[in-house]
Amino acid sequence: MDEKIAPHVDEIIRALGTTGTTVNQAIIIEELARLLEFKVPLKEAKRSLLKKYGNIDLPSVKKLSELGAGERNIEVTARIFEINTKVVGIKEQERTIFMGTMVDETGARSFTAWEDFGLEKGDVVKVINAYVRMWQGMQEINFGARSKVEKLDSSALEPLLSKDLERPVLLAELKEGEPAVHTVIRIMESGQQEINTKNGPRTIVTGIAIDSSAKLPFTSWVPSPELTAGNTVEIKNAYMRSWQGIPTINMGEFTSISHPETPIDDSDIAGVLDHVPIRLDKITDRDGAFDVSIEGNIISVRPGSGLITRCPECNRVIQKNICRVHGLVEGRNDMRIKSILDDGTGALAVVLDADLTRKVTGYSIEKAREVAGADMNLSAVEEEIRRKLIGLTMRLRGNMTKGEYGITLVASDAEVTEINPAAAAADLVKEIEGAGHHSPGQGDSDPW
Amino acid sequence: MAGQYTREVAYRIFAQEFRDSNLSFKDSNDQYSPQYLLTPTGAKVNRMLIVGTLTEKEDIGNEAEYWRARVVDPTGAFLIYAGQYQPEAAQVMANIEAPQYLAVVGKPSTFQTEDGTILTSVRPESIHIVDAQTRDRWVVETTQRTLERVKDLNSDNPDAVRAKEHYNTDSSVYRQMALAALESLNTE
Repeated sequence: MDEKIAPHVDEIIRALGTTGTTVNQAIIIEELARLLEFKVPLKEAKRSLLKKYGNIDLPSVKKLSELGAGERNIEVTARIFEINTKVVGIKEQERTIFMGTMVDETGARSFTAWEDFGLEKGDVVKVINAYVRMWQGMQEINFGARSKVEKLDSSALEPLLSKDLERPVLLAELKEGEPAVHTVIRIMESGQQEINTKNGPRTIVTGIAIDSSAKLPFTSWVPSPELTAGNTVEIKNAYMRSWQGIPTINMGEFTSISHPETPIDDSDIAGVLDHVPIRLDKITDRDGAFDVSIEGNIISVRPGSGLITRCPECNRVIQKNICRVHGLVEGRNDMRIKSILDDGTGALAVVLDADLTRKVTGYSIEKAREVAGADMNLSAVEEEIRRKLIGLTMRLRGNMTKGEYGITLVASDAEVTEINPAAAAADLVKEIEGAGHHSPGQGDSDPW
Repeated sequence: MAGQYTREVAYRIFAQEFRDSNLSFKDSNDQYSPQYLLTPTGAKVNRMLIVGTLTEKEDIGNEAEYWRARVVDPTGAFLIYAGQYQPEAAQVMANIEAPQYLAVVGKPSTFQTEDGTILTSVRPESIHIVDAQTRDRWVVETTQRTLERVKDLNSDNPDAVRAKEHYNTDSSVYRQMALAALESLNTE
């Protein structure tokens, strides 16, 4: 066989093997040679043979950030950022697998290698015929016997991102599904919890972490004495998972927890602790937020606000005392407000429960019933709430999540904020004029 | 989570800047992609919140009601048109008398006259009566947002770059406008 085409023939046969097709090597050699004779470019020739015998495509070359769950037959080139071995039982046999994180210039992903490819931390590898699956809410690149792993020269990849990963990241910047998370946090609250797993009961630590940018919940699957309220800890190789729509820091067996040189002190986190409202454009690009404060105008009150009726069995909102699961029931009255908060930089949906509805509108369920009258005119209540709230500035606290229908904050507290516009205006004028003194008369070149 | 629904932000724009705006476009050719109006300070507006005083209203419709209203802020007036496709807003319009403080959430729309001038107006999604405090507060906020945009004009934000290119914006004009609006709160 022609030396030049031998590796390509191997590649084709291996790729076909992943579909369960076995093809005589001689046929592939002959057909590939023939296509090349007819001046078909090599890549095109390979593609066409794969299509002909296995109805599969060439591996698609992807950057890590472009991967999607469920993708198969992919080729990635990345640096091994972290690798650990783990012994697992598969079909009652012990087997060593390799789990870790790989990075390229676009991002980081966790991986599992089901075979020993002799990988080491720092290696730059090209992995051909890998697949992506979702594992515990994170994308994970998988490769094994049917994949091919080539080690490349370690200078083949810009090491920029690795350097980037060495830098701790603020909580507000963390995204769901990120592996290799490096951050410095202060523990606000923490407690041990017994949970039942399929391997029996287990003790985990859950709590709330804080830094100068945000608060986030955390879960440590391995108990650590460092995770005590008041401690500042530097965490490396943690991972982010979404728990009920909120990004949550997860610490596992490969996570390291240490003391940073300088602890986070009260003044660093004062803004977060004091619930200084965050501008909406700064928060709507996060994947979710835990116990945040925001402020803006109520610009719309959505239908379904005001007095509502819930099924006593399942709490679903029902109409005319008919629940779609429990049939005819004696409905229970409740109140809520669904509205849009907008501060001119961002907008999100906010939901207020009965207590907060009463706090901001003054309507208790009883009073709302009076407004609705004997014939239970619910839209009268909704209209009253709309009349009271539209245009008002409101400050809210709660958890923000992102879903199919957009961004929602379920309020844990709400208040209508009053300011003195004249005083605020005077302050603003002073601020602007103060800034203007630095560079008078420059007009266009100076924004102030 | 690409492709997820994001609500268009309601921009705070003063009437003078809105009146100076004439660049309207879509980001893609898709018929459902939103229409934007780019203002001289680089706000890319698909929705706006106006709080001002209703000074005039008139039913200019033939068969169905079609309301034209002027809502005034410290820098000028917004024209608001509400007809059968804005039923809630039209109904509010029918039942109020000027003068009255209103909060209007709506979409910008543009109209080209025969001589090529582009007029801007607002198609309201909702109109509600508010109090004087809410109106004053809107002026403060709109000043803040306007000054932020003016400051951003020298950045490489693509909307700012495009606005400067199209309008050749003199930022001092809008800074002065915003300041004058603020000062009106002290003297009123």
